[in-house]
Amino acid sequence: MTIHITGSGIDFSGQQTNNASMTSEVLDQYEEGTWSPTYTTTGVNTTVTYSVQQGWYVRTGQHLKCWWNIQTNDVNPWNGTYIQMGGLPFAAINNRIAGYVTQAYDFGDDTPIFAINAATTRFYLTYRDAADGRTEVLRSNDMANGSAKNTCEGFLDLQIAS
Amino acid sequence: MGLEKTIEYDKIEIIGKYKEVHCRKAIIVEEDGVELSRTFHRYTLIPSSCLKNEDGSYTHTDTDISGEPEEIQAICKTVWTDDVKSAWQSYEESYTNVVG
Repeated sequence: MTIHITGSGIDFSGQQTNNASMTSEVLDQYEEGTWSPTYTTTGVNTTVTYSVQQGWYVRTGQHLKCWWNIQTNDVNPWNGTYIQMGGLPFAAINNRIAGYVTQAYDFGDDTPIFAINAATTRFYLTYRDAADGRTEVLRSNDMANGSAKNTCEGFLDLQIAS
Repeated sequence: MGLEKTIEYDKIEIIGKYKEVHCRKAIIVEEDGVELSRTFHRYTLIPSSCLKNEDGSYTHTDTDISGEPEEIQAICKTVWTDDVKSAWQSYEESYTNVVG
């Protein structure tokens, strides 16, 4: 193992068996901090204010892990078709993300459980439809109005640019 | 002098073919000139947002960067050329169509 003090990272090439699909053996980035999650829609503009809007991240190389905690306040109204969560601290470079909602309420019977399909700084939330068991994308009409609504906490993993 | 809090945009990076502007805001707390803590807050600026209308058409709205520091505004205006904006808008529409 070689540690480059100048900032180019930790080089593991001397101690690991090469894998044919390997693309790098240098850990060249580490960072942790906060970000501000948002709800957006894929329809006409919706103005959203928040009573809770917290996010934390850890970046390790091209791997980004994010946690979020969000709750809306006085949304008027929810427009458009699908709900997205936005504001990621780094842009995803592909759609291969894995995300889970750990707590959510005020979504009626369509409580989100997964995060899917990142596009740069946004991703969709999905739920399992009670009627047919299919996975559906959270829509604007699943959201609630009023203070202290649409509480959602979760985390996701995604790939970002090196 | 006591405690002093300052904000410094210590990393402004341009990433990818759509020229997303990654911003890192460092919140620095100093006591008598000695740094006590440094924490980071991240956000990313994209050229525009994409809204799918009820009739299936799309409305693209340029990202409002008027509240950003002048340095970041200048970078955005430089890298978000018409070609970049057009490519980004096409990508946004394709993404919106993934589920809809």
